[in-house]
Amino acid sequence: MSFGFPAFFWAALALLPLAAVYFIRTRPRRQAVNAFFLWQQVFQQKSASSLFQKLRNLLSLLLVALAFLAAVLALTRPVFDEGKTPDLLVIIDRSASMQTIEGGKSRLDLAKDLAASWFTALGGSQRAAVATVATRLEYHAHLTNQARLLRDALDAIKPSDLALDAHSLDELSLLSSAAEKTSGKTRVLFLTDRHSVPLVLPTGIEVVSIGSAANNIGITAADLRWVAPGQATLFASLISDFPEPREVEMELVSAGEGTLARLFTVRLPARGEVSESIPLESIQPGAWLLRIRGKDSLAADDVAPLGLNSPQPIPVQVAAKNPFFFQQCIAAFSRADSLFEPINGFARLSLVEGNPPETEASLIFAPAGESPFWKTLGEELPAGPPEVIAKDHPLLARLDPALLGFDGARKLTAPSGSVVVLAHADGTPLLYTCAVAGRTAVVFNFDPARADFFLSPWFPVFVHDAAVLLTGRENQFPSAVATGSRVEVPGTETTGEAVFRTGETNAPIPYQMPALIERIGNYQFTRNATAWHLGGAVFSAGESGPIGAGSPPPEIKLASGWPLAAWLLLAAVVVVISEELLYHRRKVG
Amino acid sequence: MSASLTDPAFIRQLEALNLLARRVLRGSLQADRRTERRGTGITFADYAPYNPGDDYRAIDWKIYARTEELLIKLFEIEEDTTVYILLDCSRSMASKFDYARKLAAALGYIALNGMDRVVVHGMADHLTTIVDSARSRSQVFSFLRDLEAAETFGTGTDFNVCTRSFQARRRKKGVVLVISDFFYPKGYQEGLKFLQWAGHDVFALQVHDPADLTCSWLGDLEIECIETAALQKITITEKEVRIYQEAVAAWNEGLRSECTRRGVGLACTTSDVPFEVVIQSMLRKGGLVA
Repeated sequence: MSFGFPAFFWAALALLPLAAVYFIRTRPRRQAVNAFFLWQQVFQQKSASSLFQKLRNLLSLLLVALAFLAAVLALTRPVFDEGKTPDLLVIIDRSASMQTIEGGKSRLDLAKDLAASWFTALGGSQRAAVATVATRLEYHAHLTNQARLLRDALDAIKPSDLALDAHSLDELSLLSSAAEKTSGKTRVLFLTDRHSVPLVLPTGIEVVSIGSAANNIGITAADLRWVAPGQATLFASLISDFPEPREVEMELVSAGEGTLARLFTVRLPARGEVSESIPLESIQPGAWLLRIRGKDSLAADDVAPLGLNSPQPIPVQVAAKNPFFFQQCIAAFSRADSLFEPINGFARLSLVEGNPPETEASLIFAPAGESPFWKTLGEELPAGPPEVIAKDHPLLARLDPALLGFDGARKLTAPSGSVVVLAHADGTPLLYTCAVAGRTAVVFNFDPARADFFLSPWFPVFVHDAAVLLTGRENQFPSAVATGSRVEVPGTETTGEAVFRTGETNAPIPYQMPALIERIGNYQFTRNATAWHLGGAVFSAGESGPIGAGSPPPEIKLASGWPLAAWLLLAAVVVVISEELLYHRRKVG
Repeated sequence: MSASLTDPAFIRQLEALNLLARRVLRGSLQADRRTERRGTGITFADYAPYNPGDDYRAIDWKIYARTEELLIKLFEIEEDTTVYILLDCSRSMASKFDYARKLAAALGYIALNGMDRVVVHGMADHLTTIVDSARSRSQVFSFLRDLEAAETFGTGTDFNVCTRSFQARRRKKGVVLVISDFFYPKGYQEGLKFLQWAGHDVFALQVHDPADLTCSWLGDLEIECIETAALQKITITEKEVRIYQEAVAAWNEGLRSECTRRGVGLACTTSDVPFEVVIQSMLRKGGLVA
């Protein structure tokens, strides 16, 4: 046993004056009576308990002394730990899966209750800190021995819709190494339900498992995409934690009116995943909700808010002596994913053979004439396999350069600042991107009319990839993202509006790009006068699915409940009350 | 500080009580007590045949003129009555001694105004004389001064010893008024019996301090006998209070039963009741009734 404040033992000296005062105090007052002989009858009946009467004063003093000593001992903050009182850093997992309800309480509440019981049991010299983790480590209370501060910090912890980030605890490796150097003065306790992506925990962190296996089905991915004007495809991926195969009904409803757009059934294998693609007819752009009908232990992952945005085609024109193949290409991509919108005049993008017009962006095949996008256009080069200059460039993502002949390539010099992707053996750029005077271009230094390039599959691939590269459409705006993600809304304006919708309420949220999606719900961003719908959902197989593989952590034994000092104080109070019951008769009968 | 018994205000109170006594008792106060003995008084009692030796002045000549029979008129002998007041002067009376003295003063005043002889004795562990003998209205002030000078004394109360001592000193029969709390450890029965045996008309006036009838203290106490200074430690709870109150009630009930059985007039009062109210009540009842 050790004592946090052994100096308080000196307080026991106060027993001496206490005993003196006690004896003075217990001398009974004298009362003269006229009928003493009548009182004799009372004395006779009291004589039966005279032994107790004689010992009572001594017993009373003994009780008072006991109570006093118990209080003194409580002040010294004794602990049964042989002097080892390491500080505690309690980290509580507040990821979405901690919202799982077990026995009427969420796992987060169970973790907070457990931590609170540890804080209650803190010895006087022992300190603790409180932190939470989801995507990053957040401290709510720094090291203190004030149990109330720690409990207040616990009360302030709110559940999050975020999935536990695998690297969120990395910074604790520094703490672990520091703890090793200081002879383990701090114990790091991680309270988690272990529903997460596989974590690599720094050494020295003790995992405390919260909750037990709970049956849950959750949506791990969802997407809503146009496949044709007025037609879309819903993609959904689900995971089951049930030990047997299950069938669940899912519905797609509009987020505003709740109009049902589609109801379908998904069959899930036992503790497994399944994906479904559902075609949707006559669906309108806007905010949607994909929901699992029925209830399970975790409600947060039963809904996936989705956004279906109006198509934003690129206005495109063709400037070629042989426009047929270009027009066919434009028509194909217009039907498929509304990438292009043919237009004459005010086009944003030009598909060009030879010299390009004054458009914002240009895809230039077979450069000819004078143009700011090249210099010193010379004689034709001999055909041959190109040399890859910019490896992993987006333009090469879907093609093999070795299969291209680059017939009709001419010797030229790219303007300064150009990114050369492919080059001839003599160094002449064959495929490059450049930006001159606010205009951008991808230059294909070969003649597509040769070697049946128009008929090859690489022609539309080049056109598509170069178009999305020049117009910034490399990444299509998502329908939904996992909570914790950051999303850049298409557009150039630095100001705009952002609205978050959950349930029946719409609330404006701070507008900043990239936008951080932290909560489950439908988001609407307005930028460059265009409204963009987006959904935020848990989308984590770790959070929704079975507990990760591996043996459960060893049981952590930590003192909980009231500390010894509190019990001593309680004992002192009980003794004082007992003494009072005894002595109260002497004072007031 | 106790009020003086010779204070004019107190005297006025006594006079008022005396007037009330005259009106209530219509002149038949104890001093005018009729006696079965016939004599030379002025109050006609009966006729009797004349016998030689009788006072011929008592012959009713008018009757003789009508009936020629010699009859003499008999008159009641008017005797003066001695009122003995036995005032408890033990230390247990300390809290109500002034009150008891006022009662004695009032009764003695009325008796003196009725031309009775008044004797006052103090009782404790022995008998003392407070007023040896007073008669007539002229001795009222000396009577009151002597009564005022009386004090509590002794280390106990022995009623039996005092009554025997009283009888040894006062052979003449009279009215005995015992003013006391009757808290006699050795009992009151023998004393009352002895006074009755001696031929006195005995009346008891029990005076209590209200504090004697109950117990207002709780907790640890050292009980001290006010007369003997005996000490006893005790813890008083509601239970002890109840036992004490039952003991007091039983003691007083025993006194009442004893007085009823013996035909001894008894009046009980507490010192918080004005003494004149007690006297008025006694007068309206026609005296002390058991």
